[in-house]
Amino acid sequence: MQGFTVAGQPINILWVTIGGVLGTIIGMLPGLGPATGVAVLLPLTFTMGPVAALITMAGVYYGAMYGGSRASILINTPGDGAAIAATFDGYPMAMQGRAEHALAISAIASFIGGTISTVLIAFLAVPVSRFALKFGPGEYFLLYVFALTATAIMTEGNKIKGFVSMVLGLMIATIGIDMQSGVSRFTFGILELQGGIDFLIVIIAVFAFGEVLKSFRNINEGKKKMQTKFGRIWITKEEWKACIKPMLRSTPIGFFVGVLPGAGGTIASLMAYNTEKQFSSHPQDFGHGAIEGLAAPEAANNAASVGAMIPMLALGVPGSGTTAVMMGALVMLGLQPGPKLFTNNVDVVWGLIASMFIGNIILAIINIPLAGMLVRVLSVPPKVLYPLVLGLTFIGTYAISNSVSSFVLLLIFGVIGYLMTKSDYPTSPLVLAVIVGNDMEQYFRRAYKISNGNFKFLISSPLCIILILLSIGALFLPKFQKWNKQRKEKRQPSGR
Amino acid sequence: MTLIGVIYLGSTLTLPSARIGNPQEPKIFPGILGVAMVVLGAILIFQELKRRPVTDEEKAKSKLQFGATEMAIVFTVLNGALYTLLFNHIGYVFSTIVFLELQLIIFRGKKTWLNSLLISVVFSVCAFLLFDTALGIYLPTSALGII
Repeated sequence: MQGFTVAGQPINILWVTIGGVLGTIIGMLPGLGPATGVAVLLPLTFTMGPVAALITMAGVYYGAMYGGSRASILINTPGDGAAIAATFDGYPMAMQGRAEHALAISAIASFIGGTISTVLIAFLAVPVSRFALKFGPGEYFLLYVFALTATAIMTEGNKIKGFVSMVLGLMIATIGIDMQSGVSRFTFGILELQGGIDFLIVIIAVFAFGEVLKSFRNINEGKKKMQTKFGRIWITKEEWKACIKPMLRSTPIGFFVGVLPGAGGTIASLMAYNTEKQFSSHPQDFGHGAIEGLAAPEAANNAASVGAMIPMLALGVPGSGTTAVMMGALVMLGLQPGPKLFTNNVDVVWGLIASMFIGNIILAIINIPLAGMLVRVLSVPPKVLYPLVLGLTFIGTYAISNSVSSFVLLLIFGVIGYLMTKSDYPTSPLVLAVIVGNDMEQYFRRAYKISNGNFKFLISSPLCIILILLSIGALFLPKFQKWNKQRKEKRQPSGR
Repeated sequence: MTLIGVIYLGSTLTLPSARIGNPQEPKIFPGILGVAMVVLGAILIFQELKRRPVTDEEKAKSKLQFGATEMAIVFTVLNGALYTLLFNHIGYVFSTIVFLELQLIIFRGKKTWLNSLLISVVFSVCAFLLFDTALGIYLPTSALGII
C-alpha cells in the first residue's frame, strides 16, 4: 500500500517523532491528557500539509497515551482517565523498586495493543466506510444523536449532568450566522461572534486552560517524591511469559470498546483489568504489583485509541474526546471525514494508518531507552510547567484565529470549563457537542426539508430505527450494568 | 446548583431570540435544545430536592469557597486580560514575557521572581522563533521591528 511510502518519508518520520515526544511530555503532566496534548499542539500543524499534520497529530495522540501511564506509574497521578487503571498495579510496582519493569511492560503492552489494532483498522476501515455510504442525512443525524448520547451516558457520576453538558455544547454550536437562512443567532450584536465560535478554541480553552485552573488546588498539596535514576528498562523472561496472554486478550477488548462512540480508553482499560483479574490464577496479587494488572489495561487503552479512529474516519463521527479533536483538525485541513474520505483522499487515510503503525514503533523505541530521560520532565516542578502550558494555550489560540479577541473567548471558556469540573459536570460531552453541533443541525434540517417539513423522516429507514434503538439502549445501559453487577455480587458474597 | 439556574435562563433565551424572515427553520434546532435544557434543569432540581437531608459538611462545601485557589484563578484570568490588552501593542514576545512572569509569580510566589523572569524570557523567545520564524505563523511584533 502506498500509504507506507507516504508515511515512510523521512520528514514525516521526523514529525511523528516530534509529535510523539511532545505528546508524551504533555500526556505525562497530571491532569493533561491526549485531548489536551492534541489540542495544544494542534496549531503547530497549521502550516504543514494535511498529511504531515495528521501524522504529527497521530504521533501526539499516541505519545500522550504512552505518557499518561508514566505519571501513573511513577507518581500515582494518572495523566488522563485511560491511565487510571495503570495506577492500580503500576504504582505498587514502582514502590517495590520495580519501576523499570513497570515502565517497560507498559511500553511493550501499549505497543502490542496499538500494533495489532492498527492492522485491524487497516482491514476494517474500508468495509465500514462502504457501509456508511448507506447513510442519508436522517441517518447521520441519528448517528450523532447516538454518539452524543453514548458519550453523555458513559460519564462518571450524574448522567443528567452529562446531558446538560451536551446540550450546552450544542447551544454554543448554534451561535453565529445560520448558514441556510442568513439569520444571526445569539450574536448579541458582537461582530466577532458572527462567524460562530471556533470549536478549536473551545477545545483548547476547556481542556487545557480549564485543566490548569483545576490543578491550582493540587499544586499546593505538595509534590510526590519520584525516582529519578533508572536502571535498564526491560523486563524478565518470566514477566514476559506471564504477560503475553493478558496482552493478547486485552487488545481486542480495547479495540472494540474503542470503536463504540462514547466509550474510550478509560472504559477499555478498566474492562481489560477486570477481565484479567478474573482469568488470573492469582487474583489477590492484583492491586499489589501484579505485572499482568499493568500489561492488560495498557494494551487495551492503546487498542481503544486506535479503534476510536474508525468511526471518526469512516463515518465522520468521533468516538471519543480526543478523536473529536482530531476530527476537528481534519475538517480544518479541508478534509471531510466520512465515507467520502476514502474515495477522495484515500492517500491521506492510508498515510495516516501507516504512520500510526510507524509511530507506534517509534514511540516504543523512544519510550524504552528514553523513558528515563523523558521522565525527568516530571521532576520539573508543576508550578513552572503549568504557566508555560498556559502560554501555549494563548499562542495556539492566536495561531487559530489571528485575533486577540479570541483570547477573551479562551478566558471565558476556560473559566466555564473550570466551573463545570468543579460542579461535577463532565466536559467531554460539551466539547464533542460543539464540534459536531453544526453538522448535526445541518443534517437535521436537510432531512427535514427532504421530507417536506415532516418529522417522519426519523423513522423512515431501517437504519434510522436501529440507531434510535441504539440510542435508547445507550440510555439504559448504566441501569443494566448496575443490575448486572448486583446480580453478580449476590452470587459471590465473599466479595473481591 | 446555581449553574442550573443559569442554564434555565440560557434555554429561555433560546426560544424567542431568533427572529427570522424565512419560515421557522433556524428556530427549530435551538428550540429543541431549549426545551431539552428546561427539562434537564427540572430533573436536576428535582434530584437535588430529593436528597435534601443535607449534612453539615455538605452545607459547608456548597458555600462558595473563596480561598487561595480561587484568588489564584481570579488573578490568572486578570493576567490573561492584561495579556490580551498588551498583545497587539507591544508585540508577542514582550507581552508574553509579562504574562509568564506574572503567571509564574502567581504560581510560585514573589521570591523566585528572577528565576521566573529568566524562564519567561527563554520561553517567549523560543516560542516566537518556533511559531513565527520556523512555522510561519504570524505573531505581532513590537516597535522594535524584528521582535
